[in-house]
Amino acid sequence: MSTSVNLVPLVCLHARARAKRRNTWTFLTLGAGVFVLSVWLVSGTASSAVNRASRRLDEAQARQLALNHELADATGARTALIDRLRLLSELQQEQPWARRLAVLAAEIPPGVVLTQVTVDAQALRSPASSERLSPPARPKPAAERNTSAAVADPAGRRQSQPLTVQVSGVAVDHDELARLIETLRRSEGWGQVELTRADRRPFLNGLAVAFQLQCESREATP
Amino acid sequence: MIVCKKPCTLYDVDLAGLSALTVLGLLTYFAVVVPIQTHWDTYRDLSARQNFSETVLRQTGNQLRKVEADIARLQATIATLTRQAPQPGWLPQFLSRATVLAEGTQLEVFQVIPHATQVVDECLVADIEMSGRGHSLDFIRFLDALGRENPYQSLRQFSITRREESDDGLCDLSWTIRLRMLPVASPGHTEGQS
Repeated sequence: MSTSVNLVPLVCLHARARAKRRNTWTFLTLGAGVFVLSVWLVSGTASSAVNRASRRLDEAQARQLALNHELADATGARTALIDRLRLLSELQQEQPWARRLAVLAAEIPPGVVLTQVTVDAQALRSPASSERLSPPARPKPAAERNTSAAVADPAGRRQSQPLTVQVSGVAVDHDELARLIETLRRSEGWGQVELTRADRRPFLNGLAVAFQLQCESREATP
Repeated sequence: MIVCKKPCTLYDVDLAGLSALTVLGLLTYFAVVVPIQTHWDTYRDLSARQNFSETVLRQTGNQLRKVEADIARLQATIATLTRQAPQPGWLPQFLSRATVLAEGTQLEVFQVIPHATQVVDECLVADIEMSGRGHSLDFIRFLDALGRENPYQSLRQFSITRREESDDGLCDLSWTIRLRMLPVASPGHTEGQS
């Protein structure tokens, strides 16, 4: 049987245990401090990444602004060119009268003789059309040009003022005259054919119907 | 110094160590975690805006290229049309050509009266009154030939009157042609710029 006696005083044991604990805590705290420091340093790179992204965004916005200016300039130039093209296109006119008169000459009933076909010049100088005349030296501002332009139909073709056409002639009887009116009404380009005068009068060796028709013709310019 | 003996012995250094770790924890949260979280949110937001901005840039670039292509096409068309369109100096040539065409279709031209040039709807227009004599069908042939040769004119007024005393079908003719011409090019409308 043996007996052990701890000769080391209790105070010394506690001091050693405390020193061990202190060392452990010191190690832990230092380790944690180093870890926090390194994480903090790493977070600095996150900040610089944010700065870089912000700079890239600023550059992209500046590029966008420049591009918008460029696009606005190009769109303005295109609008000016389209106006110019429209002006050039409007120079070209429809040529309906040769065809219209040829059709009339071909389809006129045999018992009818036309003595006069007149496009009324007064109708051409109607107030609406004379308003559009201006001296050569006065260019119109764009807004005024838009409002004073001739009326455009849905297909984009500009409609000029209607022209009054007067047709006079002699028919052998009223049936032939009615046939002429029907022919005109069916023909393209002749509208509102109205009989303004029809009376019997001597013609050659007999009686004939002298008549006058008034029609309306509307020309469209491309 | 012993703080507590049971169930385990706690020394003052334990409290100091725990306090230090707690302070470090708090420091980590406020000095590291919160800023990183903020930076991450900001970065994500910036990235999203950057992506959107790049998309808009691409779209704007495409639009610009399309407009530039339109401009190139328009310039080519305008250059062609401008070369073909009548200029103010063409009036004498047109008068001469109209007279030749009228005579070529057996019309007898009595009078040609060119009126002063006016500006109508941004174009220069010149009205030309002509009168003559001939058959109505010849007049139609004349109109057809003139229309085919020069689409820049239009018949503004005409009168075909059959002469009652003649049996040969001759008619008195009078007509007004409106020739549309390009106005004198202003600096903004020169071919080079357009």
